[in-house]
Amino acid sequence: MFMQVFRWTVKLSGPVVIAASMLLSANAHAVPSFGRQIGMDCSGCHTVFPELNSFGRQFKLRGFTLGNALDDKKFPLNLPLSATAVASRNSTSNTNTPGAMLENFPRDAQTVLQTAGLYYGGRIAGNFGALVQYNYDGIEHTSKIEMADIRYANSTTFGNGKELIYGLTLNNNPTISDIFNTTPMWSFPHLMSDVAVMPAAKTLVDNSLFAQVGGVGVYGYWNNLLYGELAFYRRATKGLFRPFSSGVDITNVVDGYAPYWRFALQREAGAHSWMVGTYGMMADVFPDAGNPFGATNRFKDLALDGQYHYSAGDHSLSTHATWIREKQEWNASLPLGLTSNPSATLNTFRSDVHYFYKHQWGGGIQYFSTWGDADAMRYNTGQAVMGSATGSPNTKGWVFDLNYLPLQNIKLGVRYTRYDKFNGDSTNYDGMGRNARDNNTVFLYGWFMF
Amino acid sequence: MKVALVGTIALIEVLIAGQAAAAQGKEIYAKVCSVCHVAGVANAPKLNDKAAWASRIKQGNDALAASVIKGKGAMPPRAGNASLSDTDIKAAVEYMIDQAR
Repeated sequence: MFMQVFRWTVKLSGPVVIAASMLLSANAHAVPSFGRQIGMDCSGCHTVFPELNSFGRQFKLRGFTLGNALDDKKFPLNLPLSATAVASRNSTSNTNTPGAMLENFPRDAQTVLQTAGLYYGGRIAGNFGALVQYNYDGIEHTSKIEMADIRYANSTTFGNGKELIYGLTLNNNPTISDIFNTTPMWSFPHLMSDVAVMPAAKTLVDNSLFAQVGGVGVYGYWNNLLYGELAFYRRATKGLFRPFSSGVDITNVVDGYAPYWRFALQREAGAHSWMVGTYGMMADVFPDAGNPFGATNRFKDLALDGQYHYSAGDHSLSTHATWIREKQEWNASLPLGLTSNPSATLNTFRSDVHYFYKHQWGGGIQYFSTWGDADAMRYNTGQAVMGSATGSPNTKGWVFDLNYLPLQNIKLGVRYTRYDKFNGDSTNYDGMGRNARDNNTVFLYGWFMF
Repeated sequence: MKVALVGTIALIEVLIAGQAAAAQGKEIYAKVCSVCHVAGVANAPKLNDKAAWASRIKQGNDALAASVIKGKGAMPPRAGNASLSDTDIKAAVEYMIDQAR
């Protein structure tokens, strides 16, 4: 395996080094617009991007409006605009098992421009700010909205003179508004391969509604201690929220209003900070996104999460965990013969630990597991690679990630993902002879923010 | 006479250096520190809040500068700007303390 990693590293190193050299030769102001607005480096808000430190959480809570340093810049650096590019190479362990087809592994073992994106990031006016990203997808060769989080924020005092930050958020994904790195939108591994084979099952709150919905939420953060948020989401296929799904394939259409909620208790003491919390949502979703009428399926997601960060001098350590339990009621899919069960449960657990030295060298390990009720109609599709012969959604494995940041806005990484179980089994999971370990991947990437 | 002249020049140099440091501190405050210390973000003491600064001033300028260099609470090390030298940070601290006296 190590020789395999070495060979792939050498293959990717050429284009990555060229791209890195271009950025290294760029002027010293080549940092994202948030940093230009507040006069800080990336490490002002991040341990290592995109993981937020204490000040980063404050900046987001205050609607991305802190700082006036953009006013001192010359055009175009005075604009709250930034860009990103991701070059990557994903190599799957075995693409040649019975029934496997080329479309199961698009662009496998090829170096690709995975993403090129443009951000609006910063204050709009007064207490209004935004982080909106529009992407070019180098795999599908399409352009589409990525994330959108438009905010109003203010503060007052409440309860013995303690500060209460409050605000509104208009966004396109439950958990995108969160300030911790445990919820699905902001949790490790942050950057995913767009071409790797993925397990069949995941919960709704686990980014399944990303750019499928638009929502409005209210939040409050009291005394640097308690965080709470309540939001409602609607389909983004029509009406005012349509721009929030611009260019995106719609796979989930929510009926009516889907509530999302979040509460967290956090403490900071010196170099240490920790948080425990809970979040969840309930949504009614049409079984056919192309024909969103009639009966719906109901999903109730409940999650627990926690994180601990330590940062002092040259050292930063962070660890996160989340457990999501989803109750599925197949009121619409069962009569249509799309599921085997009238109801089911699906669970996901993830936990990771990361260490970085001087915000420059580091890496982390994650354990992940998804498990739940077997459903032959949903998961035993008879497909090679993607199917599950047992009808079980159970998947588990490990992620190992090593990073080097030559500059604070450039992250180079090599990641190994190992599956101990995939779609229900460790061996012959698709019934055609494919093993879970055949989906192991080596993912090399260069992530550039400028 | 010669001694008096040298003393006067030295005094002028000290005064000029002090004014330069004050100007430097004011500029750094406006550019970086004001992000939090105008509004009191995350309990940061506001610039002219004498009560909030009183206990901090007792710690001494060097101790306060050391807190900025190391980072404290929501304030990242070197106030999130690694290009600030120790001298820059001390100048900014002295400027902020002067406003609170």
